[in-house]
Amino acid sequence: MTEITLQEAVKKFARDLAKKVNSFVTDVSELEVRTFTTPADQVETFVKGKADFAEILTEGKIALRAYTRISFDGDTTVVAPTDAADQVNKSVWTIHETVVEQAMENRREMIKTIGEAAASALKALGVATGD
Amino acid sequence: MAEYSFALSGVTLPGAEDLFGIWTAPTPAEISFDIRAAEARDGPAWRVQLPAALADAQAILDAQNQTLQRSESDLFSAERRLAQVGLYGAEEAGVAFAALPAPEAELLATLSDIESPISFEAPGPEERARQETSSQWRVFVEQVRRMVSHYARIETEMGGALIGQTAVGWTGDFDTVWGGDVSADSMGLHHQSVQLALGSRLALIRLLTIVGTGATKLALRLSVPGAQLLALPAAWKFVRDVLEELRRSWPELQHLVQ
Repeated sequence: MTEITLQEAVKKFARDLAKKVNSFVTDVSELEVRTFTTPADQVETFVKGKADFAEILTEGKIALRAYTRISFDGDTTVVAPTDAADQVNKSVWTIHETVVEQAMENRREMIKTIGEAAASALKALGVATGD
Repeated sequence: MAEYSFALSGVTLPGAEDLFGIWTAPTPAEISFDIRAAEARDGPAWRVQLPAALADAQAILDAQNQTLQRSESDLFSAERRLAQVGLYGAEEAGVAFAALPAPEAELLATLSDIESPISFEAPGPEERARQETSSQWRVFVEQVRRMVSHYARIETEMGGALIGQTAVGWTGDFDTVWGGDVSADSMGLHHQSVQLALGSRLALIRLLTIVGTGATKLALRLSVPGAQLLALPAAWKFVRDVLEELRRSWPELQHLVQ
C-alpha cells in the first residue's frame, strides 16, 4: 500500500516536472522585469493574498515605472522612468537595474538546478513506470 | 534582538519545520479562511517582517543569509555522505554499524530491513516510524512540486510597513511593487529578502535532487522489486538527519536567529 502511494507521488511529481521543464525550455528565451510603485495610502490594496498583478493594476493605483525585456537572441527592450523634467528617475532606475541583475542571476541558478533535478526526476519516472 | 519573523505560507512543511531553519509556517489557527483559500490558489508566499531600525533589520537578514549559505554547504556534505553509504559493502556495513554516525547507521539498518521478508504482524514502532518518514517524504515532494508550479511571492515589511512585494514566475520573470516613500536602504532589504526566498527554493529543489540521485545509488545494493522507491524515504530521512546534525555544530548562528 505504501509503495503504491509512493509510486504515485513520484510519478505525479516527475510528470509535473517534465511538463515544467518543457515549458521552461520554451519560455526561458525571454526574461521580463517590471517595477511598479504605489502611493503609501494604496499599499494595503496589494498586500496579504493579492498576487494577481492584473487585478492589482485594475483595483489599486499602482504605476509601472520601469520595464526591461531581454530576449536571448540579443534583443533587449528597456523602458526607463522619467520625472517631470523628462530626466531619468535615478532612484527608481537604480533599483530596477538591481532587480534585473538579480533576475538574471536567479535564472542562471534556476537553469542549473532544474537541469540536475530533471535528470534525477527522469530516472525516478523510469523506475516508477518500470521503463 | 528586535522582533522579526520569516514566514512561509501556501505550502505544508514536513513535520512543520523548515529543513534549513529559516522559515516558519503559521499554524492553521493563525490564518483566516480567506487567506488560506487565496494561498491555496496563489501558491507559496514568503513574508519577511523586520524591525523598523535599519541596522537591526540588516543584522537579522545577514544572519539568515548566513544560515542559508551554511545550509547549502551542509547539503554538499549530506550528498557526499549519502554517496559514501551507497559504496559500503553489506559485510563491511554489518561489522561497522556501531562505529558509524547515527544517520549512516540508521540508513543501513533501514536498507537491511527493506530486504527482510515481509512480516504480517501488526506494525511495531520501527515500522510505524518508517511509515511516518514515508508520509513526510510525500509531503516534501508535494511541497517542492507546489513551489515550482506557482509564482513565488515575497513580501518584506519593516516596522509593520510594507516595503515591497515581488512575484517571481517559474522562468524567472520579476514583478515588483514598491510601497510609497520607500528609501533605497529599505529597498535593499527587500532585495535581500527576495534573494533569501529564492535561494531557499533552489536549495529545496537541490535537496530533492540529492535524495533522488542518492536513492538510485542505494537501490543498486538492494535486491527487492521497486528498490529505488523504497529507498527514497530512507534517503530523505538520512539527508534531513545529516542537516540537523551539522546544524547543531554551528550554534554561533543559532543564537542570532532564535
